[in-house]
Amino acid sequence: MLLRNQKPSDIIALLVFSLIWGWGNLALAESLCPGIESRGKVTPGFTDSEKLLLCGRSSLKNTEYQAWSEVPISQAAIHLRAFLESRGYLNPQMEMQDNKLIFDPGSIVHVTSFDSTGGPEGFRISRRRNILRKPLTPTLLSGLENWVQSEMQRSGYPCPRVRALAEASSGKILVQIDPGEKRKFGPVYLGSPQENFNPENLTRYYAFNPDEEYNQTLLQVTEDRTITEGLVEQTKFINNCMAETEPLHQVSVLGEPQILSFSFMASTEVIAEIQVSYRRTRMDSLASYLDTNLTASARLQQLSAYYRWYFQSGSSQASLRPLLSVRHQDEHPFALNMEQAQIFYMNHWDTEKGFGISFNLGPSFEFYQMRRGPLSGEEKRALALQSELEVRSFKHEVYRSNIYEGYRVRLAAGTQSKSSVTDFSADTLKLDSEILSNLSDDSPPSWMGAWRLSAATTSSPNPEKLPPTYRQYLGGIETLRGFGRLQLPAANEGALTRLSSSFEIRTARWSETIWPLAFVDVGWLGKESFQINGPTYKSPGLGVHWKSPIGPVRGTVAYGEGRGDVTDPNKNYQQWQIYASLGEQF
Amino acid sequence: MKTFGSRLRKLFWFLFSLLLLFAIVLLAALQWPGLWLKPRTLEFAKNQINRRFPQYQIQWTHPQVQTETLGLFSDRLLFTFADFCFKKENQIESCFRSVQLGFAYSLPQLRLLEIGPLHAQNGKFSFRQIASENQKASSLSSAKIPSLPHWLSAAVIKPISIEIQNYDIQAASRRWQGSVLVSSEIRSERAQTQFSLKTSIDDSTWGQIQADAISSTDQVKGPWRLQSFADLTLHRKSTLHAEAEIHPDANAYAFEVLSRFRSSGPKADLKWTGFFKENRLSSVLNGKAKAGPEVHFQNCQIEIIQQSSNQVRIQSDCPVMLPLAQVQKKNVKIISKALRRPSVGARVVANLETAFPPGTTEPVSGNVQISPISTFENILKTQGGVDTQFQMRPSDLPQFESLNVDVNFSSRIEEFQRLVKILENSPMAVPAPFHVLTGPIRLKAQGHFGEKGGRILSLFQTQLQSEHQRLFTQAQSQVEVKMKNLKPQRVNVKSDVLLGQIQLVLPPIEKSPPSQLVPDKRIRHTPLSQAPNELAQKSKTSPFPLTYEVHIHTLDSQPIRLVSSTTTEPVSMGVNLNLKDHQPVRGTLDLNPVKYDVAGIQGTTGGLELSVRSTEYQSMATGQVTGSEGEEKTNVIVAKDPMESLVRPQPKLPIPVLELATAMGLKDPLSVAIVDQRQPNPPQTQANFNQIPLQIRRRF
Repeated sequence: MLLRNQKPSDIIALLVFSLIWGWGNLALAESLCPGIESRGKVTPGFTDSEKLLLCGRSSLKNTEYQAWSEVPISQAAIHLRAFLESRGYLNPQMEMQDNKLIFDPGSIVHVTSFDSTGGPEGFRISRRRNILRKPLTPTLLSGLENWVQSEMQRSGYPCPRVRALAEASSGKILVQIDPGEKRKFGPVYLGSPQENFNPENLTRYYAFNPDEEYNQTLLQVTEDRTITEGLVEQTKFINNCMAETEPLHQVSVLGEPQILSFSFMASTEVIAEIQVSYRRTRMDSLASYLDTNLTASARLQQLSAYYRWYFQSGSSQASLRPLLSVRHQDEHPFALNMEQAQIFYMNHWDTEKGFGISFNLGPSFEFYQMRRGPLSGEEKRALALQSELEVRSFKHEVYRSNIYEGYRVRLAAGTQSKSSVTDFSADTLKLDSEILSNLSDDSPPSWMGAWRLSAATTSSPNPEKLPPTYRQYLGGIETLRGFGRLQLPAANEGALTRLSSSFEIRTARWSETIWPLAFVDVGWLGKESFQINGPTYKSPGLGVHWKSPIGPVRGTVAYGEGRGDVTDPNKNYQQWQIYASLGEQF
Repeated sequence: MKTFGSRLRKLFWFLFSLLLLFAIVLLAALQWPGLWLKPRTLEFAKNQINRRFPQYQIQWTHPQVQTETLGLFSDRLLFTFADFCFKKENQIESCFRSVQLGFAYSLPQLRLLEIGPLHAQNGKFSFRQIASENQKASSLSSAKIPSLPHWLSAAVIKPISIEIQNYDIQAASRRWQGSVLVSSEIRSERAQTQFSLKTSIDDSTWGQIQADAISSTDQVKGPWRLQSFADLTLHRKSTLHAEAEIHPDANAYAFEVLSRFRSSGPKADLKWTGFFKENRLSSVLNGKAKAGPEVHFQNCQIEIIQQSSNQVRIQSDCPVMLPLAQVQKKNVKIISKALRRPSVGARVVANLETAFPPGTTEPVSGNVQISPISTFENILKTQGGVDTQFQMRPSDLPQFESLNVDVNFSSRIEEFQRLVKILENSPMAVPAPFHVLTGPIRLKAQGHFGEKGGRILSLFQTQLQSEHQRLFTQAQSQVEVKMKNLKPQRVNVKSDVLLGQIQLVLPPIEKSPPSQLVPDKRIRHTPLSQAPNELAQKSKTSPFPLTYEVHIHTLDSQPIRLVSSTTTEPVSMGVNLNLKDHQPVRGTLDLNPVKYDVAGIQGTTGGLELSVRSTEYQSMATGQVTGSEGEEKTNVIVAKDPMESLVRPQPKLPIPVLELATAMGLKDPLSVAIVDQRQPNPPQTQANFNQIPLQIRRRF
């Protein structure tokens, strides 16, 4: 009766709709295997491994895996609930019908709120990002627990106990915290010497004192330094929270003493850069080491070797470092060959104020052969006294891969006078600094800011006799991103003073792996020492950092602008500069 | 003579007239009691009672009497009092603001025709039991059914309402306080009176109690059938709902109690039926209780006999069963199977004597025999049991005055596969890969301990195998109890678990194992507000002096062999673990070199020797990897430690190692291999080369 008054086209449409609807409903009742049927879609679908643990696999019947050809339905129900939980399906409906497990996964539960109880004063769990509105899974709970533990351990509590509980029906999370006792680092148990290795050498890299309040960040810095130096393959501070009286343990994996490493990077400035290095660690009882390094890129080819000789004690960072280096550098304004012999006294101290100080001092003999640019075809020798002073916060050390927080200031100075082994007199002064800030005060940071300041000047009675490495240039990823590498000044002769600064804001608010950024770089040059007399070079720009699976990818587009030039007052700059790199840290 | 006879006749007639007059007056008084039944008469009677029985005191004001003649010598009387009090010295005190009591009688039939109406309002009642031996003796004896006199039994019950706003009863070392409301409703269609008793009791032991009792009868003689419903809100947020029905039956009181106990932990549904007659209570208990596993009480016989005025004997024969295959809802086939549901359990036969009435300070003596039983003797054979003789005072921590325990029992499953078949399709089904194993399982325990303590030895053996698997284990355990002054000073459990021959087949997983195999306990299906603070609970220490020491190990010549699809030959692993109370798990795991084939990548792993320490909140394994042919040797730390960051292990570790990590208590095996996913700030091992992080680094 109902259809009698309908148009044929309407009836056909109704039939088609009914077929689609019916098929859709049929498709919803998906059979996972003969014993298990789903009445809803599970996203992402079950993996092969999960299907095996749910259904067994009949093809295994006559193999040695026969025991897994069938899985009892009660066991499958337990696994199924766990697999659904791992996807956020926390309220599945399951029932048995004729020895068949029929389940409706329900909907994915998202985190609606999270709170904590029992935490120390000042602890704010709301600082943690990436929890709200995320699917509530055991992995998310573990991640939140780990973060809370980490926060406690950075605040003086080495042995917190944390339990994140979740309410399946509402998506609420409550983190129960027992921070334990606030403690100091105390003495560290290093274990007994092994394979001619004195464990005291490990204390050289300690960023903390036994009387200092416990802070996991300092342990991370210590571990990081130790492994980076190659002293041991792995090292780990273990807090024995099972027994309160036991001290902090440092467990280390010595590894073999020789390290061969190979690394690669590509960018629009250097095209490609390959580094091969060989290091022989633990060469004596104080764990001195020898390092050789070969670098090859379109701009730089260098072979260097140095020996880091620790001569005082296992706990001292005081060392002598003789270095030999051969280099060919081919830049836009110049090309040169350089041989270098250097011996530095090096030392490092850590303070309880959250930063460490490094100091290097020593003579350096350099021999230059200019191939192109200033002094082309000439050879120059120089015996200089060089020194470096660096102040670096521990946060800068531990967060350096992600550029979250911290600061670093590096000051380098050199002096040389014309003599029988030095062809020219010159004094150099160089400053590089960087301040990184978590602007949003959340974790991980959603808004980060960076301010960099770089300055250098060269003083010489005969500036025209200075090799290009004593001259100052601007432009490129390190200074002004709106200009090409060492593009400024216009003349190849360069300048004697440079100053550049950079302000940058990046955000991880929308993605943890792709960070958009905006920046403004400004720079100045001066033809005289300690003088800025050129125009202001500006380069605002945008960019992106991507933590890709194959390594960090970085790209910027900046607009370079400058009215005039220290070497050519009529030269105006208005240009776009694109930069891209793979493998270069952010 | 004549005069004497005349005088005698006159005297006769005088006496006769007097008697007749008395009879007429009496009959008139009986026929019209309103003639003499006045408030003043009541006052006189009250004074006489108070004078004659000084231990009793009756008081009232404003007495009123109404009479109604129902027939020849049949009357209805209605008394009304204000401020009515009845007291018995140091025992009973009962006062009501107003009392109305009515009854009707028939002198020719010599019986009461009606009782009621009875209305007692705004009452207070207190009762204090005097703990004399005679009264103790009368307690259970008074349970004899009183035979109702003929004059009372046929009386019809009229509307009754009794309101006691406060009552205070002190008896059997307990005190109950609360209020009572008793009312009756006449249902004309059935000519019955429905009684409703409502009482709420505030009791420090039981928490809140609310009870309703209903009895339907129209005559005093009954049939009485008392039904009561009680809801008790007990301490620790548990509730008990009880429905009891008591009725006289063949000179005995039959009773049936249905109770339902609910709490956040244990749950119980029990049915207790029986009767008490003279000095004996015989009953049967059925039902189930769940505190972890669900146990069933099946036809549990309980008998309580009062042997003397102050002695009672308790006898029970109680099978307590643990069903192995339980009923699934909506599964008709399984329900039919459940009728022959396999169960294991114990038969508890107790023969105890204690004082009457029982109390926590009264000694209990007797013996308890516990013998294991099963409903499928053809598969699980059991023998012997535990025989305990003791004298103790029950309290929170039982105090023994004498104790003698003999343990001698054995059980044996001849064919494991038959058990597998029974449990198939049940929630307790044997999981893969164990469900294909065949062979016997044996358990034997023997020992004795008495007043100074003792020792129980047990032996557990499995000899299970299939074509590709073996599970030969043997666990020898010793439970040593040391007692001082009949109090347990120390209970020490030592166990040596030998993993004799074990070869198990791991699931042939292609890529990576699932992140979790069982549901996460942190995800709750109850409101979080009800979740206890688990961290606070962990810090509590048990007052029970239990220590344990468990050694789990393999023989050097027979390591555990794990068949894995990722290795071309079974992974061999030696185990040596020690579990001790209040200490982390300690020991070693030694993996021999093994050839692997993961996603087409073939090679040979080094041997792995791990030193393990693990608690619920911290797990760590440190050790050494040695090359398959001695050409490589390096250390490895495999740490899953919430307190610490993870350290990347050697990439050569085969997947079975990760599965082993799960078994060792390392919560998330994937995190062992994929460290960076779980760390908020992972250590950067290539940081010195931070300008070029795409780096391959190799030590040699």
